[in-house]
Amino acid sequence: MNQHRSLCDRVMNAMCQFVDGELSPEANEVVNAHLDACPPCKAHADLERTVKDSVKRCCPTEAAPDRLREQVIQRIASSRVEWVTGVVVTQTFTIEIREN
Amino acid sequence: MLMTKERTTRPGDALVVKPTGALALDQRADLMARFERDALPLLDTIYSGALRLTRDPQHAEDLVQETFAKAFAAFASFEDGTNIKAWLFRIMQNQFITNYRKASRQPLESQIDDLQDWELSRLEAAADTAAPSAEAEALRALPDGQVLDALMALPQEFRTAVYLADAEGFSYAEIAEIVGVPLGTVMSRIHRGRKRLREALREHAIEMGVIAPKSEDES
Repeated sequence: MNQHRSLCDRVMNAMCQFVDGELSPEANEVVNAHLDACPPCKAHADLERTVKDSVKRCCPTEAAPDRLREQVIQRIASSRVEWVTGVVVTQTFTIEIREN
Repeated sequence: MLMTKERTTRPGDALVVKPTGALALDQRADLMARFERDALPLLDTIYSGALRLTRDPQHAEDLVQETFAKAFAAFASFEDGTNIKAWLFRIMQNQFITNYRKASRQPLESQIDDLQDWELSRLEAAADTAAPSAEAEALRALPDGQVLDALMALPQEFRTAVYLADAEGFSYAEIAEIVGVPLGTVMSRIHRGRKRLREALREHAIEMGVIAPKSEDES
C-alpha cells in the first residue's frame, strides 16, 4: 500500500511531462501501466490533458492583418536596399599585409 | 622576415572587409527568396504568438514587424535545416523583453521563479481538492473565450511557457532555448501555469454552475 502510494506520487509529479510527451519511453510505459491500474491517477491524467487541449482549443492561429503583412514585406525589401549601399560605402576599409 | 599588418583607408586595395550581411548580389537574392519561402509563411503563427505575449493587437503588430526585420538581418547566419519556427519565436521573445525594459526602464525580472516551493504549494493546494473527472468535464464545457481570458490573466512567464507547449507544440528543450531559461525552469513554469489555469477555470465553472463548489464530504 505504502509502495503503491509512492508510485501514485511519482506519477502525479510526472503528469506534466507525461501529457507533454517529455518522458523517456521507459518512464512512459511505467506511467501508462500505472494509469491502467489506478483510476484516481487516470482521472488526473485526463484532467491534465484536458487543460492542455483547452489551451490549444482557445488559441487558434490568428490571421495577421493584410496591412501588417505588407509592412513586414516592405521593411524587409527596404533593408535589402540598405545592404546594397552598405557594400559600396564600406569598400574603403582595407588591411594591407606587407613583407619587410 | 616579418609580417606586419597595417591598416589604411585606401580604397580598392588588398582585402576588403565586408560588413555582416554584405553578400554578392545573387547570394542576397537567394537569401531573400529563402526568407520568403521559409520565414514569411510563419507570419500568422508569429502574429498569434505576439498577441498572446503582448495582450495588445497594436503592440503585437509592432513586435511582429521588429521580429521579422531582426530575423531577416540575421538570416544569413541561420542554419538551414534547423527549426525556423523556434528561431523566430526566440527572436520575438528577446525583442519583447528589450521593448519591455525600454518601456518600464527596469529589467523584466521574474518574481515567480523566486517563490519557494512550499509557498507555491500552499497557494496552489486548493487546485488539487476537487474531483478531477468532474473538473475535466466542466473544463470541456467552458467557452473558448473564458479559457483564453484565464490564460491571458496568467503571469507572463507562465503564460508564455504554457502557450508555447500547448498551443504551439514546442518541446521543453525548444522552450528553454526560446525563453532562455534552464529546462527545469520551463518544466516548473508549465506545471505551475497549468495549475493556476485550472484554479481560475474552476472558479469560472463554479460561477456558471457547471461544477458544484468544493463539498465538505469529499476528502
